[in-house]
Amino acid sequence: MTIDRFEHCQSRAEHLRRFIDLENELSPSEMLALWQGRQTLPDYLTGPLRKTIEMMAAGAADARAWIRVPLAANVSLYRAPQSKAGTSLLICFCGNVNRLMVPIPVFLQFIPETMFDVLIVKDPSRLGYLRGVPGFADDLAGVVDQIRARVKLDSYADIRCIGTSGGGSAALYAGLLLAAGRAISVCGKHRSLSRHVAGNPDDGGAFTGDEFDAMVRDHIDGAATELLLVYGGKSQRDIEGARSLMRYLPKARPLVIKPLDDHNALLYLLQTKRLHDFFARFLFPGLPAGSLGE
Amino acid sequence: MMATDVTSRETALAALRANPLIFFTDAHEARIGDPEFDVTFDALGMDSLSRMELSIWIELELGLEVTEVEIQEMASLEGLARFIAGASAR
Repeated sequence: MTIDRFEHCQSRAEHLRRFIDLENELSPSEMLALWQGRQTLPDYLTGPLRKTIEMMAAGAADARAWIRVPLAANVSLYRAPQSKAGTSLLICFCGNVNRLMVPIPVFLQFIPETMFDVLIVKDPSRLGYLRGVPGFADDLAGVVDQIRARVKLDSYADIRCIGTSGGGSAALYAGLLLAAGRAISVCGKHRSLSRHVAGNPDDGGAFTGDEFDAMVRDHIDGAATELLLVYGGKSQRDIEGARSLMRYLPKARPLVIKPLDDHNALLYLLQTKRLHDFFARFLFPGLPAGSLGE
Repeated sequence: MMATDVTSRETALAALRANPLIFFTDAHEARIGDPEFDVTFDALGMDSLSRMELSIWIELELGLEVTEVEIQEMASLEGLARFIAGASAR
C-alpha cells in the first residue's frame, strides 16, 4: 500500500512544512521510500529530498532497518526488527526544530540498529523541556519518569543520552537522573541564557526551572554519568552556552571542535566526514573498531 | 544606502524572529532599532532549513512564493525588507 505522506497538502508552503515534519520523524527506509516515489511529488521537493538522501548515504550505503514505534506525541522509539540481547539505549533530546541538527533518518543512518535502540524525544514548545514534552509529561522530571514507565530500561545493557542545541541541557539532566553511562550536550546551554525560556511571557517569567538544578545537585556528586559538552571553538554563542552549563554541572567535560564557528556541530562533523568517528569515540566508546560503519 | 520603509523593515524583522533557527546576538539586539542597521543572513546562522522556514513564512504571511535561491540572493535583513517593499508596491 502506498502512503500519501502529503495528503491534504495543496500550497507550496504546506508541502514544505510537511516535508520538514517528515524529516523530523521518518525512519531511513521510510525516507528512502519517499525518494523512490518522488515522481508523484511537486518538483520543488526533489532538491531537498535529494539532499537528505545524500546525507543518509554518508552514514550507511543502504537504509538501515530501523522500525519506528511511536510511544506518544513527540516521543518515538526506533529499533531493529528483531530484539537482541545486550542492546544499548540511546535517548535523544531534539533541539528547537525537532531534530538532532540533521534530519532524523540521517542521524539514524549513523547508528547501528543491531546494537542500539534509539528513543527520540521532542519539545515543540521550544522551552528546553522545562515544560516537559507536550502529550507526554509536564516537566523534565516527568519526562524522565515517563521514560522509566514506558521503556524497559533494565532490559538494556547501557543507557546513553545526547541532546542538541535546545535539547542539550535536557540530555545532561536526564542522563544524570537515569544513571546513563554518558550524556552529551551538543551546543547546548543553560536555560538562564535563553531569552525564550528564561523570559517566556506565557509563564510570566515565574517558572525558572531552578528545581532541576537542585535535583541534579543532589545526584551529581555520586553520579557515574560522564557529562560532555561539545561545541565549536570559534562559536562565541556556544562557548558561552558551555560555560553556562559548567557553572551548574562543574564535572562536565568540554569537548571543543576547534575550527567550528557555526552552531550546527553535527552537520559540520557529517560534512567533514567525522560524524562516525565522533560517535565511536565519544558517544559509544568501547565499541569494536569499524562497528559504526566507518 | 537608503534604508527601506519602516513597515517593510518591521515585517522583515518579524519574519526573521519567527524563524526558529535564526539567532540574534545581544550585539544585534542592541542595534536592531537603528534603521540603518543591517545584518547578513550568514551572520544570523541561516542555513538551508532556515531558508525553507523563511520561504514558508513569506508564503503564509505575505502570500508570495519565494525560492531558497531567491532568499539566498536577498542576503540580509535589508535585502529581505527591500524584497517585501517591492512586493507591496506591485
